[in-house]
Amino acid sequence: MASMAWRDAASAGSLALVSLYALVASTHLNVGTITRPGPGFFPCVLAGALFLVSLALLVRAWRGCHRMAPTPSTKEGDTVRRPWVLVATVAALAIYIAVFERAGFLLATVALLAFLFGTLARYRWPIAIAVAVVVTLASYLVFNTGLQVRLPAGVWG
Amino acid sequence: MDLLGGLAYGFAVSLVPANLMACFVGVFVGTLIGVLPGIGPVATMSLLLPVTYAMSPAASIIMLAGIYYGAMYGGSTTSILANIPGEAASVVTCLDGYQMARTGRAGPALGIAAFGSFIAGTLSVLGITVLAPALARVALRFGPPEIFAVLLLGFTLVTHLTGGSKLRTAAMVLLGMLLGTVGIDPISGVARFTFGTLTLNDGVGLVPMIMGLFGVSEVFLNIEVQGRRHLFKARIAGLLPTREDWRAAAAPIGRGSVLGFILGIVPGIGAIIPTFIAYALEKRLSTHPERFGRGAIEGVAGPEAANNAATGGALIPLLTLGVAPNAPMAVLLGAFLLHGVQPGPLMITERPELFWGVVASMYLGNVLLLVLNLPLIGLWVQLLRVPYGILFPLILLFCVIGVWSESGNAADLVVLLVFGLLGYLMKKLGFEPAPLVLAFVLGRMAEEALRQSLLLSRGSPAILVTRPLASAILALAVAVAALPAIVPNIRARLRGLSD
Repeated sequence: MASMAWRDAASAGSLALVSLYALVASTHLNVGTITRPGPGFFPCVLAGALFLVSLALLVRAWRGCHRMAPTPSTKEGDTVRRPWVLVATVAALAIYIAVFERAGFLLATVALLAFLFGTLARYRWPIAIAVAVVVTLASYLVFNTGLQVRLPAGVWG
Repeated sequence: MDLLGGLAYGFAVSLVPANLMACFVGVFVGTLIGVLPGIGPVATMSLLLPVTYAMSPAASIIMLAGIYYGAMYGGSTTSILANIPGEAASVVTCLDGYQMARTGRAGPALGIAAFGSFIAGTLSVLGITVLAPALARVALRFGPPEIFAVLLLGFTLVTHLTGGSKLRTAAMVLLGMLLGTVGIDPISGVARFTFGTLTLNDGVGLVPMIMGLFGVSEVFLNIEVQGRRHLFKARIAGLLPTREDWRAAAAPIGRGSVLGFILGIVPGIGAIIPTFIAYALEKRLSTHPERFGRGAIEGVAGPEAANNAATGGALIPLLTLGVAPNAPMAVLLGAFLLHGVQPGPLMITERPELFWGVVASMYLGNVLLLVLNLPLIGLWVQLLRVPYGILFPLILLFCVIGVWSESGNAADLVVLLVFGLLGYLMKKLGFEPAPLVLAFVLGRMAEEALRQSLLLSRGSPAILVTRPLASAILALAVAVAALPAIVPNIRARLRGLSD
């Protein structure tokens, strides 16, 4: 339970920092008064309220009396935690987004899908690459050609 | 236009081949993503939002609404066969649905879920047909103060009725409203929290936010855990419930329909809460409550009727007030606005083809769902056998294409990733993303309504309490907020008296 209280405290602390930032930033806008609110009024009130709620969450976490509400489990059966899969997927997606326009949809998507199918879903490389090419071409045909979504051409532009 | 005339006109609109096709695609895709765990109606509706650019407003709304109520049908299949909710509103169906499947009664469970959904869905459309025009007339008396009061009531209900910690939900509501203030202030034209970027001038994009919070984050959560799904393997036979099944399920379907429809109208409730209440109600009313959790057909029929009826109820505030009561309706509101239509009390008279067309399409959609679902059960079972290793890269790809097609801006893909990570962290730490999205959409409306109210009253906040309708709604909001503090005291006093 100690780690749970620590996680609660960290999330409440992050919320407090965000609200504090918004509170300070909103005071740089014209706050106005309750009868003549300016653009900063609503954000200021919201940030202030969020700061108070974060403090309440922080106090509760500090006391360690809070227990996480049980959320309905969506997993069934034996499970194995694989944090590295998550890290690799996030990194692959970040690189994909960074090169999406420059490399173009086709090249970037084949690379991303081949990586995800081959490394994370553990398909054999020739199969992973073949599936990636087929899926990319099919989605290009459906969205770019069929539905007129202008996907970036990149290196082929 | 009277009710029958309006409905006849609506059927004429919805039977146009393009609109009928849109209805079919909507309910089919809705069922498909309802069956598949990990992608829900909100993400799918956002994904297909840009596709609707090329469609007429009526076809767009008919398709997107079809996805929402179609997902409620599909979700139950996964709950019954795999003990995993295919869609969040089908969590309760797992309890007795899967137990029925284990004892060889998967067929009747699937059958009663489909028939119950059909009956509830049709009854709720009947409710919209009768109630929406009447409510729209009342809504004509709504000005900015009344709209503000309704939104405040919505925020209060979201905070108090969403499961889990109220403080956490309140934090998400406030954070969502704060995110809603990002961008150019519509009244003064001042840029707020844009960090000098052009992308944020129009505010945080609703589509990348929703796809991140509901689509990408769900993938992140699922891939981190390697699990074995226990899919029901025996052959499914006898989808038609027996006479005894009908006798046991008829009343729960009726009660679930009424309960779901009424709760669905209330802003902030959505389709999940009515299922829990319907289940608890059926258990309490049952002469054999011990059967619940062991395969009671009432435990499938009531909640399944409730979640389908709630989807119909949720359309009422959107169509009559222009207020989205839950996250999927927020996407639908976005679709209306994309097509230059402002839903509200005037829509029935100004855009009757839209209002009546959507309502009539829901009658057709429910029939299509019943006709489609029972014969396609085999296909859905095959779909559930597709390994997640193949599904998750596809879900990520569709999220990226969906966001790109809406704005053509790579910065929105960054927003997608950021909200994907935020959604992942939120779910890990016990924060719900739905109140955040709802508050994000409604927060902007609330700010505008409040500032317009103050402009109307020349700066006097008293306008919120001097207008009878606004003050009544505000009083209700205060009562809801105070209820958790009052109820334990009343209970304690009653206990004291009885002692």
